[in-house]
Amino acid sequence: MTENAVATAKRLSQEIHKKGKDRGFLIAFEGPDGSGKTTQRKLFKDWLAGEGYKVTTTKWNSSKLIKPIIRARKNMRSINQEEFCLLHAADFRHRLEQEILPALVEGKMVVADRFLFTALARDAARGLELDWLLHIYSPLYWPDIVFYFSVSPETSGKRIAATRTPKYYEAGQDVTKIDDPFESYQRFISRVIQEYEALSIIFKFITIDAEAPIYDQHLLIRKLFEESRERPWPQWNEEAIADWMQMMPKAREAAVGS
Amino acid sequence: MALKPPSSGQLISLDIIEGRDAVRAAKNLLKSKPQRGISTWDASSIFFEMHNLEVTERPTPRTLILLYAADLFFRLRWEIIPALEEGKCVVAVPYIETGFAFGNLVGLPKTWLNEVFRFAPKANESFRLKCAKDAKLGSPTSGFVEFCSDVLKQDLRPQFASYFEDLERRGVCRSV
Repeated sequence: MTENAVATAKRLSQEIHKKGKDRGFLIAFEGPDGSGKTTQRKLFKDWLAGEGYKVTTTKWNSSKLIKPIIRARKNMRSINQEEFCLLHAADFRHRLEQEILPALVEGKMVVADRFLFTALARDAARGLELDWLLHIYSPLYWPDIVFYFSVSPETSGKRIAATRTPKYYEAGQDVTKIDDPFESYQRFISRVIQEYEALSIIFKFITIDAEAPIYDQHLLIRKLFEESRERPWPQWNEEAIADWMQMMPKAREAAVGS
Repeated sequence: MALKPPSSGQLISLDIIEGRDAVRAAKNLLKSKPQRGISTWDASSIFFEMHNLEVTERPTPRTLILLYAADLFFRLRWEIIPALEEGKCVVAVPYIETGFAFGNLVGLPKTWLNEVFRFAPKANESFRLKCAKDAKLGSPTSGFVEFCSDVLKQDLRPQFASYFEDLERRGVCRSV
């Protein structure tokens, strides 16, 4: 990494740190399908906007550049676990560099509907090594808060079955090899939830009981967010900022100019 | 994590700086081999599709490496390993050194590149193609070097060439 990028990242990190609670904040909503996290993310986003915050939302697998490529391959059922992982990592990196970090540097609230933990849980459930996954996604940028919406595999399965037939990869049919998507989903989501539970301990997620009434969850999230606003900026994100500045000279110019 | 190559067949890596030379150079290398196969860049069509998307955003180098790795995994799974299993001599053009070369020239850490390409089996033999320096840069979809040059708006061929020359000096590959 160039000295210039490292020095600028250090300076920028100090500036972010000094802003205290006026700095940008990254809040990730994580959990299995059917856990209600998207409903909560929307409620939370509206509340933040109502409180006067500038809010940006980022969703999993949503970059204009890579999403169409992933979608075409999912439709053809032509990718395996490793390609799935590498393509999602590319999509994530692209959004991190183009959407998330610029918004955070501007001091915005970034609400992420799924973050890299989605990849870690799903790809580990597909049999990939966590160690390799962490390398693929490095340098890692950690959110300020991760809300983890905890549900049982049965509840997740019931909620999904009530609205749609799970798609091939969503049901994990590429790894379970079970023809029935509902049965496959049940098997796969149990593995994903196991991985999430392990990650929630390692990475200190805030667990929300996703089987509690919707509005109660929302009120709890607001309370927990307000309590967390004083958290200092995580210094270990400096490496990711420096990498971003090196990879995107325009980002460096904007940050230096700000 | 690493893909286990079959004990049969022979994997030859060939790294180039002009995509248009890929097939001809690979065929030359395979002249004396009775059972042969060639695997070229972007067999998965990721880069071709991305180039044709009507979006103004450009991928950064780290994203490009992840996409290159995804394409290489696809090539290993569908082209290289099946051909090796049939006992063929396969030329992978380009192979992992092209990824390392790009990573090196944009300053990505070697440890990260090693991890990304951990899945790729080592080639039995490695070559680089020497070529004329004054040829016009090919279209972005003709090769990875051209694609990256287009994205970074800079002709990267001299830097790739210098990386491959250094590999040859260190005895990692031979030139053809």
